[in-house]
Amino acid sequence: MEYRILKRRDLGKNIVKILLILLIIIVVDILIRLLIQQNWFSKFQFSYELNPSILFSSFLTAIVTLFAAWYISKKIKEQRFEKDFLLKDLIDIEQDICRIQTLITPGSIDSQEFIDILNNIQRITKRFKHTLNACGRENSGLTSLNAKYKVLYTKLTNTDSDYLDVNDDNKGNLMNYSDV
Amino acid sequence: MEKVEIDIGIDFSTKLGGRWIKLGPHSGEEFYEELLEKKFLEAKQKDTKLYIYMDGAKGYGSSFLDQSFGELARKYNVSEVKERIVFVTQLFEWNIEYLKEEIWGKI
Repeated sequence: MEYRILKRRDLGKNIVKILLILLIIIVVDILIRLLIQQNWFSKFQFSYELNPSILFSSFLTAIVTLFAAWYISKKIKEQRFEKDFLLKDLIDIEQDICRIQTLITPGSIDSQEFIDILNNIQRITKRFKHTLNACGRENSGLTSLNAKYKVLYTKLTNTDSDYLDVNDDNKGNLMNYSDV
Repeated sequence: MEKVEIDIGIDFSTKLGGRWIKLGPHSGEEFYEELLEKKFLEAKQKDTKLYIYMDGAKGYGSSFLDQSFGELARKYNVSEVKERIVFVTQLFEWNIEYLKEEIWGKI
């Protein structure tokens, strides 16, 4: 079963990589042309004198560069981990919605089957909210998700008996409500 | 003082039904008539809380909640029922919120 969220993420990654490579090639090309135009290479001279201040400066620059690289790399990894963690919950929710949609076929369906999946969605949503808070991210999108979930829960479990009767008349509506 | 309580999973059923007795077992109507109303009145008589332990059941449908707890609030007044009943759950907090907002909140 293909999931919309996974496919969009992979496509997004590839486009960014390609654009970045193209940008680097263009910038290097412009820089080389500029230097050649300015006869920079012919004006370049080497000095063989070793100056302690230059040595110290080089050492300091190396340390700062290494630290900056390490820090940026660490931050990027953390952000990537957060995104992956959050995306996994959204993918799990989408999986459960697909399970509900698979169940919505004409006939009498035991309400407990819907209740089990709805309970699972609620559990994942609760975890998602905690993760958002822990990462210091806004959870404004959850209001919409919770509102749609409430409607879906009502439509699937408001049954006179312990079965939900699905027919050609109400199947379309139920599928719409499940499009959370 | 002896605690007045209902453990739904033990005292009633782990698998709950729909709304009406005549349409299936362990319905909201059956829970209300055989257990909930009696225990509520017992708690009221003793002037104590009624503790409802929910985590023993597999899940709660909206029709079950409406025909049991909703019916209780319609008969005995929402504020009194809200004050007297204490829900004990770690798994079904959302269902309690739903009950308070969508069922009790619309009586």
